[in-house]
Amino acid sequence: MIYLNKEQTDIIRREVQRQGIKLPGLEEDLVDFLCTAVENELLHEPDFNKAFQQVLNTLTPNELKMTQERTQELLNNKLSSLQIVAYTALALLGFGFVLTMFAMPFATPIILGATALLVVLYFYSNIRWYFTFDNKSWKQKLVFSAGLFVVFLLLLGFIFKLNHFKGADLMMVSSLGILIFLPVFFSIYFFIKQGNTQIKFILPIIQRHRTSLELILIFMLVLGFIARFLLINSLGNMLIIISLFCLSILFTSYTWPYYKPDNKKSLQVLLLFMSIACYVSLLVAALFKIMHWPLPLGRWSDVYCLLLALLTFVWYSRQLIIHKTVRYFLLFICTCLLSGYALLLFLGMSQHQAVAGIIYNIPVLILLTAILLFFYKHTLFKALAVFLFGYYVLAYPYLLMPNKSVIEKVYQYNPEFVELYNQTYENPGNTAQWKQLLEYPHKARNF
Amino acid sequence: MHSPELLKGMLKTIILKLLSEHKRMYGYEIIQAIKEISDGKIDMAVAAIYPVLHKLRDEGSLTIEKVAMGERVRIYYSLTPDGSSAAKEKIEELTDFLGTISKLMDFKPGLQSLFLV
Repeated sequence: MIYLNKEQTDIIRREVQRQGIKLPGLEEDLVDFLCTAVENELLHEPDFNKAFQQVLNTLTPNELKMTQERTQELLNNKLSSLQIVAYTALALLGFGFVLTMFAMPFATPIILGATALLVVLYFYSNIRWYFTFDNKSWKQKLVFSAGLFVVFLLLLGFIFKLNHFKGADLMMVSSLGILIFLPVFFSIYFFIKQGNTQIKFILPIIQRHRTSLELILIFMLVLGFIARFLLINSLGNMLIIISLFCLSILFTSYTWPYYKPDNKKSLQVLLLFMSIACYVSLLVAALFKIMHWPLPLGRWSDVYCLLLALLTFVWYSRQLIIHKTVRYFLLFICTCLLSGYALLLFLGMSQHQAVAGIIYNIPVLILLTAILLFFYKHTLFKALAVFLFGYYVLAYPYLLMPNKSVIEKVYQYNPEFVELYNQTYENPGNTAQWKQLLEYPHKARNF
Repeated sequence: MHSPELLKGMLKTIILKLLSEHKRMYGYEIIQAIKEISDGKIDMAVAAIYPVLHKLRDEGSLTIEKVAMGERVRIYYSLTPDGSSAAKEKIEELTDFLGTISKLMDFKPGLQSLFLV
């Protein structure tokens, strides 16, 4: 039996990597399959290159990539015990938030317990994944350990911040600071050096958890907006910030697979710029909000970074998310939030009115859904789209008229009191303002 | 050559059956064994075998063993205790199903008129 030497094995391994195989375990399987097939072929054809070509000819075009796609499809089909525990923790988290909203007991222990469970799950799943991944170099071990430490610090910081413990600010600033600069460095490194091995190491972590991450983010974002709507601002802000923070990582990761040597175009430079800008602006916004620092560009910076994220997503979602419905749904959520928020800023509403405005913006969201659904091939969706469109046309005049009253209905607080409230929370060191806020007559707080 | 469509639902069972008769096997070996036993009538594609192997491993029916083969790693698959009982069940189910299909295929032409009335 002929065994391939290192050089020949590397040629085959590079071919497997070139075809985009990144799934741990599968890459080894396919390299071994091709090597064994070539070794058998070498018994009849002594030239390695010809033998390798003949083996490749027996495969259909993109067969290796198709193998990976089918494997991913099959593996994602069922809920693993890990996912069940994660969803239970999320449900508990949701339950905890509901308890908080109604000021009922046991809310804090439930929220903290669920958060701690999610943190443990995060580490467990990453460590489990890491140990099934072979050929680890010391660099990869270092990156992995550093990454885990930073995320641990960040999560611990969040828990400390939620409980107003000492040291939270230090943890948040240091971990977020590292997280802001590290992926910027990686993005540029991938682009310049075409660091395929690094992509192979980092991308599977995100790809493996992408579906779960998207669900968690949507859940958190919705909860955040509900909290803002109920004027539980600290909780709402925290949830929105966390989800925005995760979104920034997710959006940046969409662009990484495109930094390939044979695929470098001027458009990619733009993509690189966009992904970095999106990531930095979202994280900087998160950091500034957590630390109660004034935002450099005011609230328009939110719109700017969300717009970048949305554009990046629209551009590349087709290739990255197979299911059209999921793609449309995510796109829909992003567009809704962005359009609603931009509209409100344009109309010059205050921070609290923004929540009310988003509710007012619901018909616009319905119209967007209708348009998106209309392009979906299924007849049932088209019928639904026509129905929604009809509803929108009929409802629009009624929804437009009570614009002000809808906002006033939700936003019942006296603007002067809200202004004082915001100013106090923006400058927590001002004791005179705190006194003024606490002594503000209860009756005068409402309209 | 048999159509891959016909084999779609049976591949899992075929792999479990092969592994129940061998201590451990690797992907290429499984493909070759299927080809050999079926006299070349079933030539499974890479895109068919490996996803099922990974799925079975994910379900806990298979376990893996990594062995260095020169400059590469070879992954051997073998049945877990759960996999062995799953294999037994699946083989029985498939045998029963094939018996039913065989009965359907053995219909005499004259009897078909009974159903057409």
